[in-house]
Amino acid sequence: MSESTMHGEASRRDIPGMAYALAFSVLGGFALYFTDDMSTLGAVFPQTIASALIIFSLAYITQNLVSPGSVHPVSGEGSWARRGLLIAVMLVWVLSLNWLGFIAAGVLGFIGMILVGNYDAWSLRRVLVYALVSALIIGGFYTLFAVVLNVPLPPPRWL
Amino acid sequence: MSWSFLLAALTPFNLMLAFIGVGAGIIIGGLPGLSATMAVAVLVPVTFGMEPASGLIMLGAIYTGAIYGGAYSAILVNTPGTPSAIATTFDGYPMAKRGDGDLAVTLATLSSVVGGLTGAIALLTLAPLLATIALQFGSVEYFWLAVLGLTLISALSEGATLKGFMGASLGLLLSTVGVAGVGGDVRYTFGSSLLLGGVEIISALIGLYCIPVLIDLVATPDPHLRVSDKAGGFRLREAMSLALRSKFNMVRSAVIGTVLAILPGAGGSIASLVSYSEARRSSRHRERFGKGEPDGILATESANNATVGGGFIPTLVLGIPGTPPDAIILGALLVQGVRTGPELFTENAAISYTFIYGLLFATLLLLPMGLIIGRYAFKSIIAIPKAILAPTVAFMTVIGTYAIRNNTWDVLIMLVLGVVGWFLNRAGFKPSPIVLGLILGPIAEQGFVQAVLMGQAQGAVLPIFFRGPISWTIVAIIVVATLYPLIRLALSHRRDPGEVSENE
Amino acid sequence: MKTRLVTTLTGVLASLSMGAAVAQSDFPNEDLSYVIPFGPGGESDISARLQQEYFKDITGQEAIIEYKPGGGGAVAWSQFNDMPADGHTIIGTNLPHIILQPLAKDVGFETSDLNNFYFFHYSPDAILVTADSPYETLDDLVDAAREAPGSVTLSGSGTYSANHVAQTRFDSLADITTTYIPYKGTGAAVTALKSGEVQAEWGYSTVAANHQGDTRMLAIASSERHPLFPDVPTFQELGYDLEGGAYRGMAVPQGTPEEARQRLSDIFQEINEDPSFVERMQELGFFLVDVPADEVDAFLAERQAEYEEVARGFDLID
Repeated sequence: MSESTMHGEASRRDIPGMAYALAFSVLGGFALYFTDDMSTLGAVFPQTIASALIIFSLAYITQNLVSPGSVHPVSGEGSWARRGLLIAVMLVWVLSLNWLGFIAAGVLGFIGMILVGNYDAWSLRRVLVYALVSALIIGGFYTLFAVVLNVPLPPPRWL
Repeated sequence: MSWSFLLAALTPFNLMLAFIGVGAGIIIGGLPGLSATMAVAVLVPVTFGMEPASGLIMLGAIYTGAIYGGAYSAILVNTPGTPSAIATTFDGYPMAKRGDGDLAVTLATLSSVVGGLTGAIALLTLAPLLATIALQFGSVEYFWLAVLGLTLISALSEGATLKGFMGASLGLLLSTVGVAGVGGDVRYTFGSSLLLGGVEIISALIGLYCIPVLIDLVATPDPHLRVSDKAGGFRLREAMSLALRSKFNMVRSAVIGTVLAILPGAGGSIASLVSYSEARRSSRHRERFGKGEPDGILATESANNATVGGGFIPTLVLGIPGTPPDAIILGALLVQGVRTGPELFTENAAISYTFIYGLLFATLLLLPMGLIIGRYAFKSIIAIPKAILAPTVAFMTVIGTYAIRNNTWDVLIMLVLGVVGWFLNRAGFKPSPIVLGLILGPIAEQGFVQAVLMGQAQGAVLPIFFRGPISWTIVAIIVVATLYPLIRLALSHRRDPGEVSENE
Repeated sequence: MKTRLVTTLTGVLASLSMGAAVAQSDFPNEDLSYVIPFGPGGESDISARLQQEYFKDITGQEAIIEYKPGGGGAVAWSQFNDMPADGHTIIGTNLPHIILQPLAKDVGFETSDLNNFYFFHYSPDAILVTADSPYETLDDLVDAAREAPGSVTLSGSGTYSANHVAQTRFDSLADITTTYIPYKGTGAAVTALKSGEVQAEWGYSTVAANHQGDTRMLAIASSERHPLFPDVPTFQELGYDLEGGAYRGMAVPQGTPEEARQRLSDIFQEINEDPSFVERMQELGFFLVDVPADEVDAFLAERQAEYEEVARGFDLID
């Protein structure tokens, strides 16, 4: 995303929006393609929706090319590194749930998220407080769900 | 309706259940990542040792609390706790961002009580009569209702209607993944069992709303919400004067919520949406909607708590659950040996009426409990450092999504949708149309397929889509809703040619 | 080399001790996980919760119910064999689902993947009409269908489900054509009936039990009349060889020791014979059966043959 599109007035063509619209129309095309294996009644709805998606997407692209409107203002500030790290941490967390089990994956994920979200200086006190709070939160939720409510949280499989 | 039922509802045990239920419900509904359906589902086993009426009171109290509590996460974290809280994010989160979060929470409390009481009173006095409405709606009517919901949400995307339609189509397409409700096809699973269960609505809801908030939360060290100088009290007086000025709005929204909730399946999710649209349409300052307008919250929260009482009408009178939590509660009754269906109001009237009085009481409890818990919710959100807030919210999304179907793949889908949703949001594609497409897709498709089959049985498919006054009315509303913005545009041009169009 | 020996020895010891624990009738020695492949509130849930009470009385252990809905049961069944196979995890199984689903599509499991050990009841198929329906007897409906093929509409829950199977089989037995309109769940199918959107419903006796005030059954697909509905004739009485419905049973993961499987079968058979359990199930409209572990294979083979015929009619298989 370039600087100019981020601040709205400079370029009046919504490039990101049009790019997504294009992606949607491709997606719609694929969706249509996969309806071949479906029964008649089962295919009706996906075909209609996929076609609608393609039509709307192309209409948006056309509208933007012909009479561009205002661009959705987006804040570009903030740390992209942290954003990326958050996504990575959560992805690893979720993917390891079945393997590491709920508690282990949760603890690692929780610690990872603390690191991603922390802007303050690290002191021994902060580490201890955060560790205690984490233990309480994770322990509390685990007790509530797994013990009290009998929800079958994923067990560790690597043992 | 004898006083003995009222007294039965007010026994110390039942009162305590109502109190605990409401408290637990508010907290669970208020935590982003947990949902009302999940709350009722995991707490049902607790009620099996109790008398049916007491068990019902507890479940009803939890449900009421959770629907109300959903406003907290909607306002403070932009994450609706249930589909019925989606519309609360439209004005709730902007209000919180600009420092009026505590006001928003108080407003939500007041209107939830108004809506909840309306629904419960309707249940008490008019249930058998209103239940007949549910029977007037068949496949065709549900299909049009779903189309109406989708039209509304797209029309609400001011200035970006096409993006709204694209989002809705995307949601509709997502809803076809998995096993088809009617027709039995297995669609778009690509042979893996991961997608066999389809995209679960609540996990998509949590993903599309909460994950983007999390991603941006960690990006800066600035506080998550601004705190106004007036913080410290409940801002009750301010809220009450706003509410009183908007009393017609609240009552109208409550009525809409009650009536729509009578329609099993479709009603609850679009009730707050319809009330919001209506509030905006009839408001003198409609341009403030979406940017933090108190009337918006008053409308949506009144409507969605009305759906609690309203949803019980078909559940108790006809034995047909109005909303997903109602289905669970109905099942709980069946396990207890209580026959559902018409007998609940005749032979088992004691259970029903005791329960309804209990529900009324629980709704009244929302006021004091809501104000107190809400204050703590608000204070804690702004006081907790991001380094703890982010992991806690993330943790709750993981456990809250998992606990819905005990399926880890739902959590993965939640995360993936969340990341995609963040990218889309930056390009102007809002999550609401997508979520609504996901919710209404099955309703639209089933209604459509069923109508086609019925039409074929009668020899003509097209006429069946326009059978009866209800279908025509809904179609008319759809047409008006679609054309209304264009009409206003044309009228404003005529009044002042050359003036820039207001919604671009 | 040494590690492999250790691993083998450990494995042998583990299975011996599991078998020993079972044989000593210490089994079950911890809580049972009872997975229900549907959401709470359905018939599978309700019957499981009834069993739960009696399970506690007999074994002293809790049977903890876990819901794993999705794909009409397919999600839970396809993931079941990954669960611990020590006899303390069981799953509810349903017919025709576990036979028809793998036939119709790629659902991640085959019927033979599920190690069933007991079938305990079924909800007999039944045709329901509203109390004020013009159809007084089954013949009325059959005549109407003969006069105008395809015009008689019946609601039912799901596609390729028990209701759908019943409609297909009956239509071929009676040589008529009716239109089946699938709905999502029995609740929706009943609503359609009550609102008049369809003329009749392919449901179960459990539905009739629940809606006794405003619905009645034209016939029931059980071997004898249901105690709760002594006035409703069976299909067989009326000349149609239609018997069956939605069967429910339980399975253990592949690899569960045979002793555990047998013991579980015995326990649930005992539950099924308890008079108060029988009465409560019948009050809800269920029809009890007794298919213990050693008869399960034959039972399933019979059903398989039945459903395959229907599946041919659906064009699902050749």
